Amino acid sequence: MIFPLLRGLMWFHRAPFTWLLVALNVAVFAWTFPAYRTADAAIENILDDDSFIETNGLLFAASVDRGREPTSVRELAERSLEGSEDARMLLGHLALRRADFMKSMMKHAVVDGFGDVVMIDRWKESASKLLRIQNVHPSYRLGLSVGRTAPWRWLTYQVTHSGLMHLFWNMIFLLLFGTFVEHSRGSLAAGMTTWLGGIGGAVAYTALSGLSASPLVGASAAVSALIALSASNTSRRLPFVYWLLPFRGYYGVAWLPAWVLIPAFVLPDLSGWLSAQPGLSAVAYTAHIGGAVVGFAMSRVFRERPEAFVELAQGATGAAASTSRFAA
Amino acid sequence: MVLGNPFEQSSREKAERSAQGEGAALPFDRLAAHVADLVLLVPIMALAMAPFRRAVMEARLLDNSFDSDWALLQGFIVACAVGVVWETFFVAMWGASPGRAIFGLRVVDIWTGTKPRIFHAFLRGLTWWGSVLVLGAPFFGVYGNLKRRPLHDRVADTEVRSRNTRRQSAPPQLTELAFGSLFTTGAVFFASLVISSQVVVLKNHAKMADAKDQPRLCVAVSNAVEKWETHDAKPSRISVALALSAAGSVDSRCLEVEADYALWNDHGRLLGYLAKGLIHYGQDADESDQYFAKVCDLEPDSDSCRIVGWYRELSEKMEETVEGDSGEWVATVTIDSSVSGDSVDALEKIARTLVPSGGRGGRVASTTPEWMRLLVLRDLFVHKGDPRLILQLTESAAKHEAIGAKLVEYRARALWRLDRKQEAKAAVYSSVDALPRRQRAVISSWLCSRELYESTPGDSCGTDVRRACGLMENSADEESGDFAMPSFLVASLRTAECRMDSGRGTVNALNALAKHAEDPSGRELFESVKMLRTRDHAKGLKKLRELAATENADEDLFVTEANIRLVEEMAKRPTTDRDATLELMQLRERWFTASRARRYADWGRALFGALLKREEWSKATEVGVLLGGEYDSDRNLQGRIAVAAWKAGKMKLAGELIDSIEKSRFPASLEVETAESQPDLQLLERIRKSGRKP
Repeated sequence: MIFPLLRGLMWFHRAPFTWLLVALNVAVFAWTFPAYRTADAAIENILDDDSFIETNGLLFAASVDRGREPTSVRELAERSLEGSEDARMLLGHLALRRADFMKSMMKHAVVDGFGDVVMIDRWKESASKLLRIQNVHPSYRLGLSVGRTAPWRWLTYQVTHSGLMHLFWNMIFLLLFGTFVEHSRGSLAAGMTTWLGGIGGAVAYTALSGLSASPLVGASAAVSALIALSASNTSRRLPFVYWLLPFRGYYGVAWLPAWVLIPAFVLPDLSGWLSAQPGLSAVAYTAHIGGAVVGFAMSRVFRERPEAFVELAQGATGAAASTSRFAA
Repeated sequence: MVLGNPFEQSSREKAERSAQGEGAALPFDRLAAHVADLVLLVPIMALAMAPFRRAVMEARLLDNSFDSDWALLQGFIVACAVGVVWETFFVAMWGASPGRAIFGLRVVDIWTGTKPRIFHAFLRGLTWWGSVLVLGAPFFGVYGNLKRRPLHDRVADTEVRSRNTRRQSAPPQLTELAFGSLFTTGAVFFASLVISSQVVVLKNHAKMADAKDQPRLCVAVSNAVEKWETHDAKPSRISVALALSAAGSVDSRCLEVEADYALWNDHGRLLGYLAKGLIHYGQDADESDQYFAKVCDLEPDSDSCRIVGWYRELSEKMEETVEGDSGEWVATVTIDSSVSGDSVDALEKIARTLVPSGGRGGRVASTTPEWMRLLVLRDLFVHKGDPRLILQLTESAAKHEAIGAKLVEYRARALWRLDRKQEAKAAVYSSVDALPRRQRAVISSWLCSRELYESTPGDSCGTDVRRACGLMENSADEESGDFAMPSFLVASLRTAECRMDSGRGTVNALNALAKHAEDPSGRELFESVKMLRTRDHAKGLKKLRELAATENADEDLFVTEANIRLVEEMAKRPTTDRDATLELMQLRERWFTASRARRYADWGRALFGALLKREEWSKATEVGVLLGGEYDSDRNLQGRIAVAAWKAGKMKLAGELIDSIEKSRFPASLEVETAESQPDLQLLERIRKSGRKP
């Protein structure tokens, strides 16, 4: 296990922008939480109905253009129509994320054309209820999804989160790398990298994965941009806390090249994207990658302040000195 | 394997001199160096494995464990290859991987003291990852010699040295010996473990690969469609599924799969909706009604709409029954009778159009869809429709293998109801050998039960019983679970008792049967019967009473049997025994309040006989009237009911019963067992003509 120490969290006077950004994220979450909880419970209630999901899967299987779908979806569609409940459930959940699938099914006259009309009528009731709930759900109101791409959403999606844990981990990383970037390159660098990283992430997500019916929310792309910016100076060494074995001498703090952050934090997004099934992953890997690209680009614009690293070394040497074998 | 030249001792000494100050690295330093390497190596491995991880996810989505495991194996091989390249590259270029460099370790050639050549580095990396595959057992070789050289170092003629003089050590000689032996044994053990587990996995995969090609739709329907012979073209899957469902050959899940297939693939939407309606029928009235409505929306003049009309009418009446149930047994039974009566008339009307001799509206049997004939047949059977119609329908039905057993059963049961018992037995005995084993067990246990319960008094263990129950015992297969069928166990229990009564069996036979009773009520029944037949008669009776009084056990055959046995026990007692009479009255009330009293005809029949014996004419008549519907062709029973009604002063009822018996021809003889007399034809004639109380 290895983790960048970066002198821990710097307080408000050292990184005001980062702290304000964290406060904004927390405020938005607190403001939207009651609506979020109510709407989420209502959605959950509808999605708990297996019959709705099954019909959703069957409708998707019967209407999808199989030639344009990956093998797994083609196979699932075939199985759904041949009675496999598991395939219907899987496809039903997948279809919920498909751009405009439900809306187009609601609009088009499926009645008396094919399928089980009794099931479809019941599905329509639940689907229209689901669409109504989505209109008031904070993640749909502030996030980016198909048909919801107004310019302001490219910013608001970055400060909206889909749950407490999502917010918690994003804020931890934002504080860790945001304060470091702000300290080493200035508030403007941190601000530009964060917001442009978020926008770049959304652009990459739209281009590589395509917007889905499920909204894109979270500060992950911005955090990726900050990590990439922190790792961009290949000649720079940064303090990392490590824990290799549970014996004295095998854990402590070490100064390692900044690029170690790339395999540790950026590369997993790339492999995550390449290994994920299209449309099925809950993590927007491509948004992270887009954010990282913006972060690397920002390193050309905002240069490091060498004195910041002197301060960093002074602050961290105490811990680093405990492991004599590592040269600073 | 690369073997060093043993004669080049001088080279080796030179190498050792060049490594002045360096010594064997500590095992933990080496381990920590590998862990540090993994921080960088794992993300790279994950990237190389990405396409395979995607394939694994896809295979898991499709529940295809074979493809999933295969992709996983490929990914693992690629990950190992990345590891080998990592080792080879860093060791050949710098003599140390990043992790080793951090800990001041380096890999050296034992002959030259410098970094190994690329081939040696490759060989070392390959062996290192091979050791990982056998759960790392060979790594314990670091404790097995003074130079701390495990298998991969020996293969590549290398050793790992530490520059840090404070972190060098060779193992003590005793440790060297112990670990040397241990690691060799461990390596062999783990290698054999891994290989044997892989063989099992591969065998399972071969089976899975075969299973992949199995059809996904209902297999029973697929098989039947292949063999279905009809006068027209190949039948649709849904029509065959409906026929099989009506014959009880497939369950509702299978029918639902086929109905969905028909609806969503447009392969017979009409029958698809009908099937869905039938699946929900009796469970969700609204849903079934919606599906039935779709049937008639699509084709108002179709056969499907006709049969749907009957189902909808029946379900409306059943709703009325529920609403009209006042809790009084008479009200419940009367309404129940009216539901069956009217509705069965409507069903019989449909049925008459399906048989060749149906008169006006009748049509050639071959044009009737098989599914419809079987549905009507099933419903006629369930709702106690005219057994003559049932017979005609079974005769005109096509004899498909998948439904043949059910047709035999319908035919035998219809004949039995028509009091043509010899023909019913002939139907069973002549076709039983051709039936599937399970069906053979079912129909023979039915025949055995009929013989046991409806045999003439005093001959309850006669030749007919022995023959029918012998057939049942020969047909049932213990391993297939036939012995656990409640109908089999109850009939076998009585058969075993017959043997015991004739001195050909012991109580051990009951013990052997009791082992197959899966329900607690079944085990209790066996226990109480054993007690009744031993010295613990009172205890057995008490246990029987407890079982008989079990609530909400309307469907439990064992509880019904307990009630029948209680009635039989009370009937054995002298007519002057007031307690027995009182208990019989309680049993009668229980029979009335059982929600499906008419189904428990054997229970009612036993009650009727016991009450008649006690000259409780009025009470016996009430039981008899309810039984009448079940045994409308049993002239013997009808005659006894008429006598009871006459004795109870219900002249009109007695007269009506006699008239109905006359309509179906007077029996040659009547055996009515009463305490007073043996009524005969003359007595019945007197009843018919008399308007006075006896």
